[in-house]
Amino acid sequence: MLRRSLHSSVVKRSGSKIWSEFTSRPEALSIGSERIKKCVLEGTPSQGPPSIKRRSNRVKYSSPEKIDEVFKTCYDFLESRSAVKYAELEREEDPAKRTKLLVEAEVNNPEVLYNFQYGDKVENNPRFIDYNVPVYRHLGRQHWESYGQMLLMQRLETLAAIPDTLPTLVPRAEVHLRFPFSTGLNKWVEPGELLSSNATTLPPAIKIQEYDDVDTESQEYTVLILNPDEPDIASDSFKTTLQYGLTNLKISYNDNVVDSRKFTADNIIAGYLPPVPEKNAGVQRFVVWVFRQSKHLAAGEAASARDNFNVRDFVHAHKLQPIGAHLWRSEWDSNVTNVRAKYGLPEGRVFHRVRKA
Amino acid sequence: MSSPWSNNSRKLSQPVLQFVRGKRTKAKGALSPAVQRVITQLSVMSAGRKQPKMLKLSREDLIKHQTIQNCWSMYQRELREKRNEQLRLQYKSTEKAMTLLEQLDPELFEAANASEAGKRFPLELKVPTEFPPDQVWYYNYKPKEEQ
Amino acid sequence: MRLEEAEVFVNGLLQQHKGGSMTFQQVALRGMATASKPRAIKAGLILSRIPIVTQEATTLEKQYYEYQSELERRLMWTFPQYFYFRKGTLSEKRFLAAQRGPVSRQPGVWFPKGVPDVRHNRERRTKQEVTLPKSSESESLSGANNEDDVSRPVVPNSRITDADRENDTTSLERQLSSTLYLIVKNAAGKWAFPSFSVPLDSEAKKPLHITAEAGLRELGGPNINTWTVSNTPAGVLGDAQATEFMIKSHIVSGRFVLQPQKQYDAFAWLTKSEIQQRVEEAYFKELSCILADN
Repeated sequence: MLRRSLHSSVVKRSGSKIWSEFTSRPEALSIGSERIKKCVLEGTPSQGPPSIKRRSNRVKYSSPEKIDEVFKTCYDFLESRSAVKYAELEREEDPAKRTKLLVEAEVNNPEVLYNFQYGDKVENNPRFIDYNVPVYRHLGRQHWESYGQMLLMQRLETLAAIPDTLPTLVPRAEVHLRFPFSTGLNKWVEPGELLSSNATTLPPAIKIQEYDDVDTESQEYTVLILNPDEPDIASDSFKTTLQYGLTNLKISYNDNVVDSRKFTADNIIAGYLPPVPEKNAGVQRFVVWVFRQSKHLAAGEAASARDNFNVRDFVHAHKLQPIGAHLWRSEWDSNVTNVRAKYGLPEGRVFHRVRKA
Repeated sequence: MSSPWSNNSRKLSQPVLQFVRGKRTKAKGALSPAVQRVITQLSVMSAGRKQPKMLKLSREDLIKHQTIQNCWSMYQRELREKRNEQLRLQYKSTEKAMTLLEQLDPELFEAANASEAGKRFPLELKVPTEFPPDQVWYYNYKPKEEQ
Repeated sequence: MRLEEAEVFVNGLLQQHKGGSMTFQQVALRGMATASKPRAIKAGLILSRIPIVTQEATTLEKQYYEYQSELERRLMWTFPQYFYFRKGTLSEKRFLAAQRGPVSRQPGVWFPKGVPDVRHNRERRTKQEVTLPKSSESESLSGANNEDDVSRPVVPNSRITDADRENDTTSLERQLSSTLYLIVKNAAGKWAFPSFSVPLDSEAKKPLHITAEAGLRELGGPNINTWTVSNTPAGVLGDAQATEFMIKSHIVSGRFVLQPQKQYDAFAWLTKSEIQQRVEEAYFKELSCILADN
């Protein structure tokens, strides 16, 4: 028979208010607004839920009936289970199991759910979504896997960035990309978007969000931006160009946007070369690859020719582990000439349907 | 422009309704009762005008609802795991008994292992109900005379 | 007896007779017959009365079901009253009179809780409460307890019976919501499940479940209707003298009346937790997994 002994167990452990003490738990596990916290934990006040901004809408709103009573019981139940997990945690030594227990102890906490659900997950405020806390990394990974990861893999495959650059990718870290606001594109770029040459004039900021347990103090990253669509007339084919290369980057869970503040000239393998597709050369792909390094790359070791860049050899030689990718596309437009002038590049060729001798 | 006078006069001029045998009293487009019945029956099953307003929860209430559902699924999982564990133990217990019986007495083992095809669940065993019946237990059972 | 012990015991027997060309069965039988102290086999009976009423819901279950039913009512389609009550009939009139109609929208009136959105006589933003009109007859007889009146109020029987109040452990009507097990007290004052020895000579030998059922009839009178779950024993207990195989059975109807005899002098119908208090700890530990928690 499927029967229960909830009653006694809840009463026994209800003394441990594990979710309401913040001496040993990080503050990011609590809701920031005092009024909203009170509304969630102690029931909706008579003037309506505080998350609704307009007073008239607050008055109009009515909660589902009996939600507060049943929530109280459920909260006690989940809190008692969390207390069990915290008790196990004290005896556990293995770091992987400790992370798992920390996630299990907090993943049902309504305050954590609130913070994660209504917080900005990309530009996260560490007061609410602190990716140093295992439970937020767990939720972040779940959120990424539910959409972003699938979208990225689909774009990489349909645009044949896989296998044109690297054979495949086992995604481990989420990569976001944005160009400086001065170029007029004020958003995180969706993988595979077609960008104007004006938008991509300046080097992009790359955000590498790790969800795995890594040692952020010692782990270093390499970022490459490749263009596999450079026309190669001699061999009647295309060749890969290295547009941008950074190495020995260090990031943390929360402060992980790689822009000019994050690195010095020592980190640069190849400076940023903006996309300047030639006229009638078609749409070109610009693939961002992010690697975990197995060792520190000494100065000059990683230096390599920008032209005819062989990414597979490079990855193999330096024992890099690809963990994330991103891509965008560019096409010739009337602004390309300006970009070329700005970077001192030669005037581009113009391709025709019939090749001239 | 119509003056109240003219309005009145028009009202007065309207014919008084008089019952005439066999004369159609409803408009020509009115439905027959059979068709009307079918329409009523179909409209009972259709959503038109019968659906409630969409339930929109505030942020706090949505979190509360999710917590309640999380709690419920955890509670159900605990019950399920407990039951599976007991079933596992019961299986082990039977297995242990049968292994021992096979070694101690193969004849009894054969009998205990015999096929029970055709064995039926007794109809007299009742499913538990929320409240007991008037007669809680049937005491006056007499075994059937063996022929 | 533990399983390992039995294995050692039987393996020993097998080795004794290794020289001869005998089948395993013969060996085992001979082993039984020739061993200096034959180990008796007993058939134990776990006779249970299944619950008659459902379990008491826990606080969480009660509150969760209430919450879900409230949600369901909020999301319910409007009751199609025109389908059940024909327009212009008396029954429709009576039905409408019994409803607490919604507040409908009025021009020039301020509704702080939102402008009413009424369709088919239902406020769409809240649940609809449908009240059935009382028949005039039942209203007039509301005080009287008329057995023939179909619409008389339903009064359920109590889930707590007389046997519970008197704490009569020999009654089958106690603890309706949990499974009861029959346990008996032997002359030495020890409580245990009834057990019956299986005759080991080949003529009188019967399968375990038949021995157990026959033993039960001998112990508690013939007027018991039981249903044995399976021929297979559900568990095993053992000591130096005997091995006891437990057969599971349900009592369906009839009365267990302890027949006067010298082996057992008392019996009780107890739940699992009550059994734990009466029997020895090791005995309970062996069998606890095959008893239902409630």
